[in-house]
Amino acid sequence: MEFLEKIMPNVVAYWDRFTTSCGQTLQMFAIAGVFTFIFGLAFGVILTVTKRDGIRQNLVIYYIVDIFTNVFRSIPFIILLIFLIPFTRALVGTAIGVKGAVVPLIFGAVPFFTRQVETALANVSYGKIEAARSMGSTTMGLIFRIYLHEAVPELIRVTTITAISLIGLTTMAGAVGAGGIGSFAINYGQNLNHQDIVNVCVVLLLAFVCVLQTLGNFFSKKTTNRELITKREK
Amino acid sequence: MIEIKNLNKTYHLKSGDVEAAKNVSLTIEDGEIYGIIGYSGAGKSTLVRCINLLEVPDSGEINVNGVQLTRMENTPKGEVLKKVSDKKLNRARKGIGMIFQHFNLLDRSTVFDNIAYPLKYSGKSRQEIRERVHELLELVDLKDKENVYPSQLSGGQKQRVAIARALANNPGVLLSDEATSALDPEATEAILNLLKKLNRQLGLTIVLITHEMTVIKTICSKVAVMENGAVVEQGDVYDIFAHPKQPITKKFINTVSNLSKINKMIAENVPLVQLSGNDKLVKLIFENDCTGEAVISDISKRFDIKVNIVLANVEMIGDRPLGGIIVIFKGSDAAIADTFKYLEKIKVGTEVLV
Repeated sequence: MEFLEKIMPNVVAYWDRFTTSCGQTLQMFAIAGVFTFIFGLAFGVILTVTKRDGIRQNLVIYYIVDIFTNVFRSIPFIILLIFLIPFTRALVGTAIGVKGAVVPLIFGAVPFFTRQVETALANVSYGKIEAARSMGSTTMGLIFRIYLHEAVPELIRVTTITAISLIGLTTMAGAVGAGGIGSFAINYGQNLNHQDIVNVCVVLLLAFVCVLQTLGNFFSKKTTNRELITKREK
Repeated sequence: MIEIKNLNKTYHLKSGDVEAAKNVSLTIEDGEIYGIIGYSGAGKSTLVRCINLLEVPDSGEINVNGVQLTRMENTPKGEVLKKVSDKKLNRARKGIGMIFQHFNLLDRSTVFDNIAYPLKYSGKSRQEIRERVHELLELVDLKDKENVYPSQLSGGQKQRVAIARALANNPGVLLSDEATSALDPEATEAILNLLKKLNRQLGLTIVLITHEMTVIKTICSKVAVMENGAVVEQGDVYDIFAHPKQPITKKFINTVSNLSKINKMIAENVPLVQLSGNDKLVKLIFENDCTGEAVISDISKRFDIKVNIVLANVEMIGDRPLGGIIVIFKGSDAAIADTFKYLEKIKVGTEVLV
């Protein structure tokens, strides 16, 4: 502790705040992450299935989801945060804190993830779909047993990318009262002029991103069958 | 039995309309190996995909093993295509296996899981599925590859897995979409032999499309030739080889016949085919057991003509021989005319080349 006090005195001084902030960031990340995964995956699948010449073409649904995705992807997140305040308040009762941050985080990350999922599924060759249809697979069979099954490594990869950008979004939400590491760095580091606090926040986020990326790479590789990996590495 | 009546399909592309099927009618009997040949873009892929409704035609009737997949109905708006319900279609598809040029196996599933794909979620127990997959692996001769991934297999082995998968539900019909086009000659031969074996052993009806006449020659009993969306010639493979009518059919036959060298020789005017006076360069076609040499010595004795042999060849169509000799007749006009008459009488086909 003495050593820590020496290299980052202010972090130690605000230790309780620091741990609470870490907890808040993890909370925002986990809750928003789960919702983003579910909605993004669902929308990605809907786009893939309903597009022109998709397995269940339905252009009305396609365009609704497509436009929603484009609109929310185009709004810079910091603007989206303020824009959604009334909506957030109506939905969860507050626009600040972890609870208030989760809503805009989901709106910010879902469109991004949707597009990534759409791309991942587009890489599943049409021939596999055709073969499964020739064997009498239903639409649900095609979605779960072909599209999602064959795209697993790619889906893990894009989930990792989205998770990492979601960490970025949670710190930004900190700027408008969501708490978490972002607001800790701004309020206690920047505003009180404690550079060591900012430095620690950077190191911490860096470590978190590294862990996510490593996990993502590991599982993505593991789910691709081995022969494919060695071929790709050659 | 597969019955296709008045099938039409047009693709509306930005570059214009493409008629992929123009009023196509075909009947394929049970147990036949039916070949459909044509250049790319001739519409053969569309046609074969209509048999299991991977492509829905604009109009026409399709009946596979007694299930009417599409029919035309008279409505106030005119004739309208009616499709079977999705549920019935999916059931019908289990009775129609299909294999593809690029195999279309699931890369993330082992050979076992690929073959088990059509068996799962159909009320079969794990044990039943395992037994059936092992049976199929034995049928396609891949017993030791159960647990490997498709990427570890050669092209020919991948196609065997695809065949096993297509046969999992004991279909009566197998559709083959250029199944050997991505394979080397050796693997092609092995796959064709396997298809032949399945046809004999299981009584499987096979509809195969190809752009290679060798494939037709090796295993098909019937053939349809397609050009620009229309079937221009169809019938028994042997008859088509012996008496091709359409120019495109002749072109396809030339790709596998040694006698097609003559066209090049004529074009280059090599001394061997240079004619003088009223000489005639003629192709003689001998069917079944009618042998060439006997006929040639016979006509040169019988008529006052000389017969020079330029090229000779015997093709095996399935297991029936088809002989061809290219000769130069030298003699008087009258003698040559008599020779032709005689050849027609003894049922030797003739075609005057020059």
